[in-house]
Amino acid sequence: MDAEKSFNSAVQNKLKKYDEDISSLLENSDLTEFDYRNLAQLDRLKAIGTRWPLLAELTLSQREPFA
Amino acid sequence: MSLWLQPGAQAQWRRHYRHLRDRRGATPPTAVLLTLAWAVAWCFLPLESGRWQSLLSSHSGGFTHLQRRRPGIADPLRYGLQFLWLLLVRPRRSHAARASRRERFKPLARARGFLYPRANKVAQRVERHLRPALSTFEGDNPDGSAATRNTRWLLILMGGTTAILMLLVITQPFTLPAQALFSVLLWIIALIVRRLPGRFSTLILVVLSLTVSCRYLWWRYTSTLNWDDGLDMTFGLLLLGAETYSWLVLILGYFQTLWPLNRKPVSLPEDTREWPSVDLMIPTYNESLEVVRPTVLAALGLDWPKDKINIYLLDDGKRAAFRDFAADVGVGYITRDDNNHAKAGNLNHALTVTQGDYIAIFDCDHVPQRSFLQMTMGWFLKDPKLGLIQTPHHFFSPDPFERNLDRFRRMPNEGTLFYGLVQDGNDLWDAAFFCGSCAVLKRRAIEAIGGFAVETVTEDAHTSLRLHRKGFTSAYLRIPQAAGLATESVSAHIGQRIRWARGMVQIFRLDNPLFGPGLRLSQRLCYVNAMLHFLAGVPRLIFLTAPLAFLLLHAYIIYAPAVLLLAFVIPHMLHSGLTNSHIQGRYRHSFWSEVYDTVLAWYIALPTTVALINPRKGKFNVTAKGGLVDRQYFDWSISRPYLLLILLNLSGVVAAIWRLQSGPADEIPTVLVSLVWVFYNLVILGGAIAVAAEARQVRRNHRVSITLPGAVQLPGGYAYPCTLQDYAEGGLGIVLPAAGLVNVGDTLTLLLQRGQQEHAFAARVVNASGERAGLELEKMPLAKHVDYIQCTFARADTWSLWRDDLPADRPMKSMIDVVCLGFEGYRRLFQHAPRVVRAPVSWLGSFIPQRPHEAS
Amino acid sequence: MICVAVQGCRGGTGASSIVAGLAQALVNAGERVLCIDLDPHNLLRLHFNHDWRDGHGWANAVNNGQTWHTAAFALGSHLHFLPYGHSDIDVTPTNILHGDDWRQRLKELDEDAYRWVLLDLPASSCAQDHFPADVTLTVVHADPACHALLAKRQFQENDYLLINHFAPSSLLQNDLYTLWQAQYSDCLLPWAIHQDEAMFEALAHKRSVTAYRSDCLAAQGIRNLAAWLLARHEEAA
Repeated sequence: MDAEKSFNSAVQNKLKKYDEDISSLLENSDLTEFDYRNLAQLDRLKAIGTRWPLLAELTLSQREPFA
Repeated sequence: MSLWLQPGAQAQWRRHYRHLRDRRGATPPTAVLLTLAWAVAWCFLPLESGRWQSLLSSHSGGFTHLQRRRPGIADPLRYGLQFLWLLLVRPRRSHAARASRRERFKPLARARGFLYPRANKVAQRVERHLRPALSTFEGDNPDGSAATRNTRWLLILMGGTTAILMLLVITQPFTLPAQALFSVLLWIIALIVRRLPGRFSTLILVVLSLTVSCRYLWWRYTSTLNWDDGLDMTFGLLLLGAETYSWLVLILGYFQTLWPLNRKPVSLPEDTREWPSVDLMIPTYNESLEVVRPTVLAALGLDWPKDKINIYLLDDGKRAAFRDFAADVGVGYITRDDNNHAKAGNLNHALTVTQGDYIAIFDCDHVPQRSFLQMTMGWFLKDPKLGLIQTPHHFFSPDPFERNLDRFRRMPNEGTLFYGLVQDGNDLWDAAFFCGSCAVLKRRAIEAIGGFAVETVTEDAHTSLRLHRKGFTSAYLRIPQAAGLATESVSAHIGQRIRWARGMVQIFRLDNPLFGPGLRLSQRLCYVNAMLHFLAGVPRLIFLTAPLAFLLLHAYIIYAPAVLLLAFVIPHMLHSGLTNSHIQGRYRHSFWSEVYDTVLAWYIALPTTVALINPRKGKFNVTAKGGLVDRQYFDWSISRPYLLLILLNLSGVVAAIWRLQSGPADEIPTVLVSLVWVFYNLVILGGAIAVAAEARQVRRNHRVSITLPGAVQLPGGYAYPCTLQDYAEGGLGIVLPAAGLVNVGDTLTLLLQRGQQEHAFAARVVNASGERAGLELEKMPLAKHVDYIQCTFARADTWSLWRDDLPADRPMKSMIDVVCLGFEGYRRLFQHAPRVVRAPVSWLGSFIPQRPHEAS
Repeated sequence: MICVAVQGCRGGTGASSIVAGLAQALVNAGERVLCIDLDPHNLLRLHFNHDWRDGHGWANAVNNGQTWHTAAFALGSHLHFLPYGHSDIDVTPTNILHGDDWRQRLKELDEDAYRWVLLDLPASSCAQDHFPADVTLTVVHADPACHALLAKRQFQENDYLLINHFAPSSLLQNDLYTLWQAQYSDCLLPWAIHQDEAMFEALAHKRSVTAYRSDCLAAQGIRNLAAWLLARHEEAA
């Protein structure tokens, strides 16, 4: 049981590390309230919308991540 | 020979001779003599018996060190001495055995085990009673809310009362037993109080330390000066001056760091259209493109609306390669006709051709994280009077101290104290100042003070002083948001500090913060302390030579009995040490300041004195960075003054021994105290010398070590997870899950993740050993390159993660560390000494018997 | 007993390989696992070194009027698997995948016999109703076809998307991944299983990828999946 738990936490930590660097920065600096805007990500979404017509068409028919 | 020797013995002789000649490289006469000596020994001792054999065996025997060196004529003497030594000493125990012994008897440890829990209990009880009162102080809200103002008034009130009481305590003369008792009592209080959590305990420690130190200084002024003797007087006043300086710096330091603000970033408005526009300026003069490139690429990746940020490369070197690079990556390139006023002039010129509301400044080797602007800019919108926000200078390469002393990331480095504590303390008093890079300034504020200050060589501090005078405020954000290269050699480090020292003293003379309009008292004190700090050179030199005045010249510099001196000075040193360790422990380990200051002392002594007298002399010198110390060497020219000081102190030791032997008996305590002082100086000087032995730097590109998950895709379509161990601008080191997965010359795809996104980079294996592999990145298009910088240098979390894993300060351990460092310095000095000095000493040293290790 | 259904968004997404790998990864973490192949292609068994000619499976057992679990095979003490089975006469009754039947069948099992039941579902077809499971993983490729199929899909509470054969060097795949992160942020698992030759080689060796090369990138992705499941249900328990 213990071995299993440590396995879990070990892999979980690994998963956490794969997480956003910003969230880890905010967590480390104790800034849970801070509203960071992932502008690079938004820019990318816009670029994707213009680059691939099919993706844009499908996505626009559903929700609006390009907004 | 065969007449009187058995053929077997003859063969043994021959074998021994051949062994000496062929295997151990002895010269023929030496081999003959040693064989004879061996034979003689053999006649009297049963060398072939098991016990002798085991003693002589090369693995665990007591003669190992002799068997390793080349045989010499004097070897029989060496063996004889070592044999006698072995009869006298017990073998050195292994670590584990020693630890268990320590467990068994150690009255000190047992006493500690008895006292500490009780002291803790007292501390806890005190805290329980005080907690409700304490909690009202300890909210640190930086804005001028009523609570903070009340707290401040309360503090002032408390301070006033203590000051009156302290005046009484300080000036009251005591007899020796009374003084001793007084000191012991205060010390016990300090030891208990320091276990209390929170800032209240710091406050008490500071008050105790102030009491003791002021009392010491008062006593020094009133009863230790001999006004009758000219020599005594001169040296005594010099020392007293130096001590007064230290006392002043100590007090101002307490004031400055008592209550670090620990400011948090403020979020920006929801709508990015309300965000202000920023001009990011990267001034450069003679640094190479390799150094500048990551900075520019990281700036391109900043998370800020693209239409609200302009990046400019301010090239005072006017190099075509830089112009082309700027055009390639699409950043602005600004040059000017002259190079007046160096960096400040460069920035001032750029101000005339740009329009952004705010100006972010990065030295060309400081790579900003992508979060930099979002973390900093919020405060400008919240506080309209804010003129400047500064973030720490963080270094990803070791500074010369860290490199030469092999302490990189093993303890807080030299800059940690300033950027971790002092600036944060300044921020409480609205006196955080500009450090030239990794900062954002408001254009309107800069224009209001007529541009960056050009009168001194430290334009940064002077600019912020002027901002404060004009009524703008400043802020400091302690979260590292950029990282850069540290200076690469001791001489470069010293050069940089000479510039800072000269500049700060220039400001002190030309625009003294104590006078002039617009500043609050607290701001004046913070600025003055920053400047005083750089005047440490002369006082330090006085401390390093003061005991010699008595030992060599027989001047009574402290005209008091040695025991009384100890009763005053020991509490002074202990309390200031304890309090500083309590305040600064996380940012600087005890005693290391001594080493740092000593290295600089000689070199800043003269420039600061000159600048004090004639502040307009001296020009701006650029700090060289990104270079390579390509071989191990000892910087003799840098260490020359310290060698002189060491020689002086050594002569002091000789004089002390002479005085002990032939001086009057009543001087012996004084001699002993001076001797301890001289030894302390020798240890610190040893530490300074150790720094001068430049360790070799392996790579040109400074590799940043890190632990980051990644993956590789190999040509056959196989993919493996890997751990990124280090990275640089052009290459990386990884650890794969198994050995032999990649070979040198393979091309592969490296996958790195940043945020929720994964990036693939083409790379080539340049070295592979076991599970480790070194990769070199293939040439990549601009967008990819920006991505690479974003995955590595500009990751938002890298530098904030770094601070966690440093060990806490333990003053005793730190002292032992520094003492060891002192010895290490002399060892290195000896290693690099010319052969003429080294050979006879090491020959003599070879006769010293060595303590063997216990066989495991 | 936690029932995990794994289903390809369309054919050929590698769902069976993931089921086999996941089963092995859970066993490695000390869990007791039962894998049931609900796909008439009957391929899952090949990951467990099962004989190609052996036609035993739950489908023909049910057809022949036997109890459904008689055809289960054991692979060590912790891992049992139940092939679909095949016979010479090609009968694939449509109701055989009916969810409620399986709910009934799984209830017959001893609650403590297995902690995990992994179901390898056939690739989704539009008509199919939602299969009753505690967790449903839909395996997708980051390609436009899957994107189009996903656009028509309704996601329920315990539905998750798992990207398989992800190749970050492809611009399109990367873009789709980013898009899905924004679009399906609630159900897209926060990591992908990467394209990795070992995944195919494992089947060629008749083994699961976790058993074949536990250190490869695909196996790591599957380990992440196992850890995620374990963590998710540790919280629940």
